[in-house]
Amino acid sequence: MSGDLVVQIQDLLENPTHRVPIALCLDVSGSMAGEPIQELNRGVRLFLDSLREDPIARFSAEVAIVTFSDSAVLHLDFQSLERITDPPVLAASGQTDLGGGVLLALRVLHNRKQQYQQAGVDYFQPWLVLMTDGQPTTQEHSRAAEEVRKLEREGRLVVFPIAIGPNADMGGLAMFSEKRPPLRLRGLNFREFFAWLSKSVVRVSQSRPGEKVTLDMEGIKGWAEL
Amino acid sequence: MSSASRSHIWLYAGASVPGVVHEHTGKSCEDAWAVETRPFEAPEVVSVAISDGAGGARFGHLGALLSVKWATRMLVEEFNEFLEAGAFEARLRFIARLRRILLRRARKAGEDLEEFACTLIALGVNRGGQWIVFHVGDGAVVTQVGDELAILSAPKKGEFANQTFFVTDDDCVRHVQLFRYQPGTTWALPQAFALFTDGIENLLINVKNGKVAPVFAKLFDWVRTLPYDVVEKAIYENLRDVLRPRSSTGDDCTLVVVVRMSQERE
Repeated sequence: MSGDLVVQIQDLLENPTHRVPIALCLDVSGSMAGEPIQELNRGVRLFLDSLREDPIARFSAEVAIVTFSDSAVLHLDFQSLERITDPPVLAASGQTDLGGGVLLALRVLHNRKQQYQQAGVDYFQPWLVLMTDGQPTTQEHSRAAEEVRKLEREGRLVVFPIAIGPNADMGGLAMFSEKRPPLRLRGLNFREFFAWLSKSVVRVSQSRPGEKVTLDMEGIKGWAEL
Repeated sequence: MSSASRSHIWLYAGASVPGVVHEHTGKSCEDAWAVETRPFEAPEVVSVAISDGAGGARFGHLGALLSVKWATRMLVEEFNEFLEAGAFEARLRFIARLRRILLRRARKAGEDLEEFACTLIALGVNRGGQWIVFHVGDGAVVTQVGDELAILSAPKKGEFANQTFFVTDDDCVRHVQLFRYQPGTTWALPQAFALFTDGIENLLINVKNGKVAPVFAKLFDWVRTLPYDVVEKAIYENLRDVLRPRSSTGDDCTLVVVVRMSQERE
């Protein structure tokens, strides 16, 4: 191609990549102490690293981390992966304010969507990944579950309810999704779960208009009790 | 001044390349484009169309191929009717006929119409300098009037990045954007049009602030001054080597340029 007929970078515009906002809403109550919280921390780091390795997801995926124990805490607000140089190290203690955690995650997701809209940034359906090993200790979870189900029904939220260990309240988790029943993590296979999750995010970040993104069901066997 | 009037000759060039995601997965390009002229020599009407087969539709590519073929044919055959009809009637007639063609093909294959889902942008221009654009879904049309580049037709999408509208949607007529020649307006007589699919949207326009990439001035000049085969090769190679690697979606990329050359006629 002749040099005169080559489009130069300065001839083009630079628009932001379409974003996939993912809120991790994680149980850090006292029962998660010890190996579970260590594995969860490793899993979250692996999740961020795996997303960074994908040429499209590294620019499109944005992650927020909300935890819940005695209260809900926003540990990491939405930002691009490049800016997350030092992911938070989560510690376990206290009760299980699951409802408070979910409501905070929804608020953070809502705010991010508004920021996208104001900035003219296109975005995919937000994801909420909810992980708990126990039973809610506050009453807010019913209201939170109702809100989540409404968003899911309207096609405005993708929800992944995940149970950790044998004591997780599967019935309580089931209240958070009408489309996706909760899955129980096999043992402490956090890393396998987050590896699968990052692959799923990659699929979505590459999806095109009209495309129904199917999850890797075979891959779920690597981390879930089925 | 004599009774001389201006006659407009329209030149065109375009290309499609598969997106990086399709190339990595070995899938073929699901974009399509076509051009139709009537009569073939010294055409009175030139029509071009581009289409992006829906990712989730099993025969999206076929839907795209059929849509560009029939859209261009309809525009050259009924250009004046589309130009003169009321806006709603023009949109309805255009999309209803197209859907009938796709439905016939879908029934023949024993498939649902939605399996042929695709977006569509179709442009018709004539020697009198009149023009018409039908647009369903994402992708966009840019025009040049004087030295100014502007977005004529912006992508129409849902709330989320992977939601748009298709010619196969039941309520499609509500989502057909129609733009056409209106004497006396700033936009009466553009010197050039560019049609492109969403694979390269992020590099060419910013819908939020209305910005248009300067590259179009360059492309339009190429079409005006260089032989057809040279321009078409240059568009193809630039799509493949410059734009596609920078596409934010990894989707197929199609770009078609139509440029007006005016001459006096007695």
